[in-house]
Amino acid sequence: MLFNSIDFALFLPIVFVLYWFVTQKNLKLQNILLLVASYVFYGWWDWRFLSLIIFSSTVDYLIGIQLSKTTKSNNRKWLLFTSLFINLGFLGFFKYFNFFAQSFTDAFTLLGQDFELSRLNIILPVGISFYTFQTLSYTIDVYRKKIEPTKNPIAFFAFVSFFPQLVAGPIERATNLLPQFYKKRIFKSNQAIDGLQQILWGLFKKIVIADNCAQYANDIFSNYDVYSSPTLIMGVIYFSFQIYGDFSGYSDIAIGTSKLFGFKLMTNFRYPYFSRDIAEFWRRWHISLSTWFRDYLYIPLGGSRGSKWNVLRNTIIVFVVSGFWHGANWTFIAWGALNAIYFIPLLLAKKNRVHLDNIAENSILPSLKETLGMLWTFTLIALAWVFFRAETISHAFDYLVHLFNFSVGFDRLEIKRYAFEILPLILILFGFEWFSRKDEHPMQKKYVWLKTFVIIFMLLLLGNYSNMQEFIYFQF
Amino acid sequence: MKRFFKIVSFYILITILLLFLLESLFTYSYYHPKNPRSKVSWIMSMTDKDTLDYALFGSSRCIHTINPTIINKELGTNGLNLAYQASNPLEVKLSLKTLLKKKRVKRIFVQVDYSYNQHGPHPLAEIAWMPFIKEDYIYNELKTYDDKYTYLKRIPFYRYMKYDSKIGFRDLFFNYTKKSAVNEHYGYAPKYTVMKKYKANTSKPKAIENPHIKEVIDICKEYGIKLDFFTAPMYLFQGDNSALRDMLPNYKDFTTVIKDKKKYQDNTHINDEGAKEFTKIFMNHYFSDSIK
Repeated sequence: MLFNSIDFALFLPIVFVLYWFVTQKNLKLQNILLLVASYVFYGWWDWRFLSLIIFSSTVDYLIGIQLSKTTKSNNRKWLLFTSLFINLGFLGFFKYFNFFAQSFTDAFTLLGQDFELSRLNIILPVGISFYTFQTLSYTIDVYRKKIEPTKNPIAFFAFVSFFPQLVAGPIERATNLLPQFYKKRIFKSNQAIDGLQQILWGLFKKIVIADNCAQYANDIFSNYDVYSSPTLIMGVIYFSFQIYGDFSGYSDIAIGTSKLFGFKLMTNFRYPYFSRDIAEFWRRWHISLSTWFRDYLYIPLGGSRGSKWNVLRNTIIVFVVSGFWHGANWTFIAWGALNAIYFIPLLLAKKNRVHLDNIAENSILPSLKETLGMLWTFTLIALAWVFFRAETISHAFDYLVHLFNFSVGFDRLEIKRYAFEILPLILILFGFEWFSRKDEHPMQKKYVWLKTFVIIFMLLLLGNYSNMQEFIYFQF
Repeated sequence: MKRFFKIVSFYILITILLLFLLESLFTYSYYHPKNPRSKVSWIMSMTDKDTLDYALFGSSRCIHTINPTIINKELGTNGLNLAYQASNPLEVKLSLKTLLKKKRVKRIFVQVDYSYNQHGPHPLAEIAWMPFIKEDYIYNELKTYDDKYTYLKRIPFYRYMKYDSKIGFRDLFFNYTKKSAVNEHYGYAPKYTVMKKYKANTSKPKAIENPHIKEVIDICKEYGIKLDFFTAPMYLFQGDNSALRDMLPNYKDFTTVIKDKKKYQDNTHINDEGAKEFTKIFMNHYFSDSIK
């Protein structure tokens, strides 16, 4: 079920009414309702894959219980290994089997050997990377004794499948979300209204920004060989805002929806395109994934301790694995590696934690230095997005070669529109976000009523309804 | 909870009011365009109650094919090319009905070909009618084909959102800011490209009566309008138009009159060079009495 669909527009109020008016007196009933609603939400896409979530949840629930019963280090390690093996095994099979089969075949062909590993016709279950990481965080935290294993199966199953963030995050930690299922939720008008406004903001970013940018970006990336450099630059800018609007829009809707049910999810994006360097960007982009990799991969590898070489190695591993998490394609690995290359100079110069505050903290406009830093960071990130968006590595390189051939003029696109036409939309988004850069989302604090009116107006007037796109991160 | 529901109700109210407001604004703009963005909007906005000597109807095989500027200049006539892309017999009938609400016309020419056997609205051509779907004669025609037209008519602004890429904000904006090519050259739209690849057309319309074409014939009888059907040129036509000859009064097949490949933009559409030649052939055939 898509957040930007009629189905969801009907589903959400029904669950809301049942939640606050029918089951509100009984916490267990409320959790059962959320669990059933979450399974319906997921099953709307394909009922068959519900069994995977249920199986993963069952395994981690039982392993959690077993971990609480044993103190023997070896046993605990075996239990953790079992959870990792099953969860990552599913992820590996559904998401990466064909990639490895193809890569092995290509490698043998390159070595002159005639060897072909057959590929399977596998459907990638929506959101598998997200809920796998969420349920793994629980087992690892129980193993590390950071959280008590739950003995409440309904709460645990609801935590794994909580519908607002099930298919595209934020990837929640058991330490934050699971305890919220134990406590009675009390309806707070302010929280619910804020949630509603955040949903509106998320819809604006998805339907007005991302889907409009997508139309142009898709055309430019598909026909890059006939377009001029300025048009290809526009293609990169459009994709940068498409992916941002699409993914952060989803997160806003997810967080806003959770607020309607009295839950508080973690922030996933903090105005990443206002970052002054790459390190700051990665503290502001897809925070739930970055911190997951920090806590469950970077730190166990040794983190920032040890020799410089070890720190570099750990950083490269985290970026490359993070890229690979996005999809079974060399393009994502290249994207991750490129970001590591961007990041390493800051790390070596010990400047990766310089910008911990907000840009233009005490002024309306940024300083020249901040502006240049922001533009430089955006340029680097946007160029890396070419690898993220391209179908293959050679497609990405070809695109960049055409982009740097310095031809002039904006083209008229195949979609019969000019390449620069929707720049004003990006400026509108930029304006809204700039003046709210210290808030959780722009629909808070000052002029809320005016902003709400403007956003509803723009959603109706400028939304792209004839070319609605699925959320990009569904495929991950 | 009360406060929350008050605010939700307020948002819903704002949304509904905006839907009605935008609906009125968009619809008004299509009825009264500064620069009409479609042939239908152009016809709808006609205010002079004069009489046209002739009008041409059909699809893109008619818009890019006959240039009334040449005919009007040569013969001193007052004629328009009112064809538009993907127009099927249903859209031709609707265009004629709309024109007759605005003007009188002495003679009409309808371009027919493989689209003769189409009964329903074309998914692309129907969009031009959406701003005017509240007109009973349009809605009553469309609703027989799909329930969606009921929602498109009744839910305010829904049609402009559903077809936003064609009749949405961008189109409205250009309606006021950009000179339109729709009514230039009396409705003729020149194409300047030359065909590179081609595939022979083998269409063979079936000899089955088309109810919309029949109604066009009846309307013309009722209004005393002279009616001619014709088929525009195609490159290397290998089909058979005998059914059209059998089914239609005053039918003329021009399929093979333009043979030069350079005068085509693709195998079913001639370019501006081709249109100059074909318009003269067309004029000589139908207006030989008037040529000085």
